[in-house]
Amino acid sequence: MTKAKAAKNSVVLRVEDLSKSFGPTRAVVDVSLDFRAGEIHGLIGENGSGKSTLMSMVAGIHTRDKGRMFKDNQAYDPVSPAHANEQGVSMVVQELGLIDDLTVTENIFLGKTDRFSSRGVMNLGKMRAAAEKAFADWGIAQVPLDVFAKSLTVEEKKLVELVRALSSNPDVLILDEITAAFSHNNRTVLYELLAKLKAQGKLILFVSHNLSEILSLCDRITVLKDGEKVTTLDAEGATEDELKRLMVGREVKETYFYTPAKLDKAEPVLKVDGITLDGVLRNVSFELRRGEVLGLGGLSDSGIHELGKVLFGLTKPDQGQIIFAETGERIDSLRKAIDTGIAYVPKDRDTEALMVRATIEDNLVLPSTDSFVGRLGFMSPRKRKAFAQEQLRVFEIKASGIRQAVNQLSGGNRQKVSLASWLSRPNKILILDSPTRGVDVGITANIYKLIAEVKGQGIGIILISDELPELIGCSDRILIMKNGEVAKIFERAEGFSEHRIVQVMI
Amino acid sequence: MGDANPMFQRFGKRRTQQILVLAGLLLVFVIIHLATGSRFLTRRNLGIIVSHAVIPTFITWGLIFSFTSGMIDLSIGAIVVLASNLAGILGLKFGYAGLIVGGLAAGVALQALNGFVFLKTKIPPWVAGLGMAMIYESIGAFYSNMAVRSGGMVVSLGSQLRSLGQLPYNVLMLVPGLIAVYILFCRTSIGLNVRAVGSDIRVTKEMGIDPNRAKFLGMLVCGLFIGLGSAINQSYVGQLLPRTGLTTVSTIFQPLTAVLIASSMAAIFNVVVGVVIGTISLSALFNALTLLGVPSGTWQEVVLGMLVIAVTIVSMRGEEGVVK
Repeated sequence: MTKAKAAKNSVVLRVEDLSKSFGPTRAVVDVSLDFRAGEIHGLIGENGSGKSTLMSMVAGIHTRDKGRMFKDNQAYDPVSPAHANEQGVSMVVQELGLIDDLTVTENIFLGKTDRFSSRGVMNLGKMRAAAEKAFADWGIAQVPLDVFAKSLTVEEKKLVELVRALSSNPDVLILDEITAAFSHNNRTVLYELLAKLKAQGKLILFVSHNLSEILSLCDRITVLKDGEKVTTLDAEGATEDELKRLMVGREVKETYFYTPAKLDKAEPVLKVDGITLDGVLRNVSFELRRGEVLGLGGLSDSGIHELGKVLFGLTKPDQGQIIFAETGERIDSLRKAIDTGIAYVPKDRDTEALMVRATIEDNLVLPSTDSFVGRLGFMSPRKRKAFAQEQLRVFEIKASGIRQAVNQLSGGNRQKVSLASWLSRPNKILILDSPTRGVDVGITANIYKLIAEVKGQGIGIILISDELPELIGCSDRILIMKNGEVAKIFERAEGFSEHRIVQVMI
Repeated sequence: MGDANPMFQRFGKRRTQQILVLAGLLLVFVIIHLATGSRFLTRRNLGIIVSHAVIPTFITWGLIFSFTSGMIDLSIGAIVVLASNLAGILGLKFGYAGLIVGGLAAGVALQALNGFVFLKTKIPPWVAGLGMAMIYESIGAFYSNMAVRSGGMVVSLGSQLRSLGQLPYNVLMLVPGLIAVYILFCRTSIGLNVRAVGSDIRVTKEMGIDPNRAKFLGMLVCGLFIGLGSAINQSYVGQLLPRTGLTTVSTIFQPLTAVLIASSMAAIFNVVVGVVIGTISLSALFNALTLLGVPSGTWQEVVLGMLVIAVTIVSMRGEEGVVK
């Protein structure tokens, strides 16, 4: 073995008997692992298995209760993310990690402005140029640098977080569920970037629920369950079924629970006619039929996520109309959409779907408060509680009880709360934007099953997703958008082909 | 969608929006001018408007450092009273240098004390600020009583040291003030960290920034501008009588309105410039109301109250998270 190759395969980071508890919850239990330079190491496990907590300890976000860490054979004890950063460890967290009221440039270099300062005064031009260079150097599509972060999309925010993590040129890069926010094109860019970093001998710790991505990208994979390490295995030769069995502890078959819809006989439930939103959507028209899953796919700037907001009345279009076909009523506001029976589960669950500091109960009952109001106009606490407990049970939300705050739940369980709060209402149309984003295989299967059940009830579903296999697996028709326009609608009867769909997308 | 991306468009529209806002303001001024029988847009009246905006501008510049980081301090008015009096006392001994140093020293010291109390006790700043306002007002009252008992009165500049508070010097002070506040708020880590802490304390901590340190430094800078505003104020009024019964709290409403105006226009103008537009607009509004014969102390305050609510509504309807 050559010296360079030996260095490349040397252990760059080691954790020994690492443990962390949050109150009575044991998030990570005696985990020991070693990670090598020049490898992409995947971490998988169900929601709540301890992946993010383990990585947060490595990145200095959480302090450990027990155990030791070593980096380059030296004791490694980060007290903060900035401290970890100084020692060559950067992380892009699962949640959004930007400051809304700062510009993109300021966000990238926050806490690291000294190198742009002379006598305490920052050179903004120099800082901006460095941000521009960082995007260019890493081959990442540049987002506007002078706008406030709050005006960016989730995907753009994640790109900025990635650039911020890379800007310190780390030896160890931790990516927690980053691809869940990315569309096809940016995923491709990320994969190329990771290959480049790997070739440079960097260690990449890659957390994802996308097992095919994990298998194709990673060299080794560690499986965690209930905070404990199950095993570490080589990706080569491993299969998705094997990984699922290790994660869940039982066989989980790949299924989308798809049942064909009789579209030729189905009446339209929603008519979308000539929707135009300045610079985002252009003359979008289609029909959604009763009992149909209409998939919406496209690249990051295709407008699919914005269209979801328009259909739910959150964004007012400049032109065009949305008609509820049953009554011919025009849906021109959020109130009208809700009253009509349209439910919307947004992509960004923490900022758009949930009140993360409120309890599970409050979140679950909010869209259905009318049903708990008695004759005198007061809400019945007993009914509220019973309702919330029922949803907790039906959706198998892992929590200490309905009084637990949502921000104490894992990502997948938060998503269940988001889904439960809307699906428990009598809906006629369901708009799901990236419903399996950041959700483990077990919960993903439950969500697909739920989609099939809802579809069986004759509800029209619009499934917006950046995951092509998900669109192909669940949809009766797939509408592909490009540059804000409808590029093509694929019918299942013609046979969905990933290759053909991607061709239309790009 | 390439260049058609709405964010690119929004950013490209900024200058147009700036021109539109300024043109709109000018149009309002012209209408007021016509309504007041051509008494509004005269050289003398414009001088009065800008002159009256100077002290609130310095105080508002100070406020953006504390308010942005979430430190809603209601004792600012009481600090202005004490800082103005100390500026007057030192001014009579050491001239303009004493006037300015006295204001600055009192402003910074009292804001440092506030910062210490707010951050150490962890009491909500607006509650602790009310307590500090009572203490500062009482100190002013003690000083006033002491002065009366010794046969005098609170410090009065008489005809001395009055230039700083008068045209053109007070308006000229706005230029270095604007440069200083821009540099501190937009181009130093003090300003950057204050803005970061006020927007998202979790992420800020993760970036290795100590939120308490950032807030404390923000309050010290706030003290500098309040101190300078107090020195100009003392020079302008000559004598400022201490008040009790939390009456100083109302002093904050005009600067607060200016902060809200600046925040609501944050996507169009830099906040620092927005403050100047806000304070001049408010000064112009009160001037116009006076010219129109609207009585001060009653209806003018009603208008201010309505304006605070209106501006807050506009702020809240703008981009998310504008109003703290």
